[in-house]
Amino acid sequence: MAYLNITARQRKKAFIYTALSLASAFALFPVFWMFSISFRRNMEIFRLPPDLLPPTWTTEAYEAILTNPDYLIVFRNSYFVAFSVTFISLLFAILGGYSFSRLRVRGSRMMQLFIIGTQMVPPVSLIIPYFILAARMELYDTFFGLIMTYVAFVMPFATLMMISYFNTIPADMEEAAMVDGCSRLGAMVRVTVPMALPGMVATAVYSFLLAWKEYLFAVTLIQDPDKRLLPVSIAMLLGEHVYQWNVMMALSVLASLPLLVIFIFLQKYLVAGMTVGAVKQ
Amino acid sequence: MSNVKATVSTVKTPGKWSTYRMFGRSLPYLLVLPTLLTLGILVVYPIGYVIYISFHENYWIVREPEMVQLDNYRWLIEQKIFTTILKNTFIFTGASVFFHLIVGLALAMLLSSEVIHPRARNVFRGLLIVPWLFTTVVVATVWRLMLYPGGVVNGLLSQLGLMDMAQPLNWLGEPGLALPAVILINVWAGYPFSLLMMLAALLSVPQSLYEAADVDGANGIQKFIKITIPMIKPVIASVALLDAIWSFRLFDLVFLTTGGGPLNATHVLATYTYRLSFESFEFGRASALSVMLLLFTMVLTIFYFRNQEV
Repeated sequence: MAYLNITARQRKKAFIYTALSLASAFALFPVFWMFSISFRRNMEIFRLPPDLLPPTWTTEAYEAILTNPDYLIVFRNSYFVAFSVTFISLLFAILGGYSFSRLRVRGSRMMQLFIIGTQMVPPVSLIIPYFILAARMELYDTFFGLIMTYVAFVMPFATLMMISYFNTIPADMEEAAMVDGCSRLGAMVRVTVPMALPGMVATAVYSFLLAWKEYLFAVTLIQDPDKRLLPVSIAMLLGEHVYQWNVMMALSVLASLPLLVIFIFLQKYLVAGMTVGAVKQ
Repeated sequence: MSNVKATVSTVKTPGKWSTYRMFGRSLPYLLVLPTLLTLGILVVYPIGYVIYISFHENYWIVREPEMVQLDNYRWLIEQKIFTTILKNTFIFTGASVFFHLIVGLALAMLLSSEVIHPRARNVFRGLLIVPWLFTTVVVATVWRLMLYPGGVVNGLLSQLGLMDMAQPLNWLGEPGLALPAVILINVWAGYPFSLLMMLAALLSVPQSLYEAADVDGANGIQKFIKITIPMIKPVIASVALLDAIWSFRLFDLVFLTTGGGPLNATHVLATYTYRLSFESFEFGRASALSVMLLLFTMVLTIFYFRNQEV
């Protein structure tokens, strides 16, 4: 009987590990394919039967990108915009999150519902007003205009993340600091905010990812090639007459680098960020 | 809490209306002001504006656009393509949500099994959420390359003898295949969210429930139906509703894989709104479509809120 139980358990274990490995292979294949194509010569991409690895390894696609000043500007722009959005959203989210979590705000519940509600608004439904307002206020083709639209779509969830993180920090330390003569603001800045660092990292990761991925606003509110962002730059290659798949894939790899860094070093925060707030506010 | 406040005020506060007191009292509101102000200017006002535009003809094109009441809405509903778009949007949303839930739940069940080593669980969880990381534009580009008639998907299918390379499948180019293909891409790109939520929910189900069921001699399927599903039902509902809200408005993935084609077979509300706006510059009509999109989203959001209350 005991012997039978062990084999049943082992069979279950073997089944689960096999199923998970297969699922991971499916999940990762497109990523593998992106890398594989990026190291090929363009003429060797559509051979039959398909080569899983490059027949001839070459970095010519990467060289084409990294020696082209136009692309370097695009990278600089994307990093600048994503970091600015992260900084502003995080700042606003800390202030708002602290207030909702710690202080008595009249109408707090309505305000929080409002914030969650704005998170649901489809970006595409606001694209016409944004376009017209940007043109009228001379914010068309400016990073400032673009960054603020991103902030509007990133901040609601960022604020919710900070509220739920502040809720997990006990108020004792802060109260002790206030008894010792710290002001409310001083206690917030010196005690609570430093303790909320993991929550801030998670919020920052979330904000950065969203700003880095965005395409719709980037393509409609920016026209100047010197201010173009990465997603737009990749999409433009899809509109060209002759597809340079290897360059497209190499650019995609380079565009995915910060995401891979986040994945490898900050995965814990990424997972925390994805599941927070959505289960229960 | 109140004790602390009393202490602070006896130490520091001289008069009732001193600046310090006033600052302290308005501090909670000052802190939430940047958030509310940004959302007011960049979300609430534009919503009002898009509703306003939707009642006008030739907005932005002419200096003084004519107010046409509901004409734009009427025009849209009378278009033949309108039914197609609605149908596509509902099929896309329904199928995406359905497959996200199935794939997410199946993988979460595997990951939450007690026979798996915790470290292996972390590794697999990490690998399985990789698709979520990627920029939509990159997802669209990579899948276009893979689904190309001469691409690797067809290549592997013909290797397995499932397809004849003489008549390759044009996944994104054939009206009957394009929508399923875009759904497949969206399932790949979007299941990690549902996986993580389901996994968190499954791991929070008390083991004692299953042990009690074992004592009563319940089998795996009975435990799944009688314990697992009821326990994680609230999470399933909130994942389904959030996913429906996101899928319903999805723009970039569809726009960048098929652009709504072939023959409008994959046009959804969001892509058609964009096309009316920036390809035909019919801002009035596009705004009317935006308002409809907003209304659909509002209904889903109300369901979401009601689900969260419980």
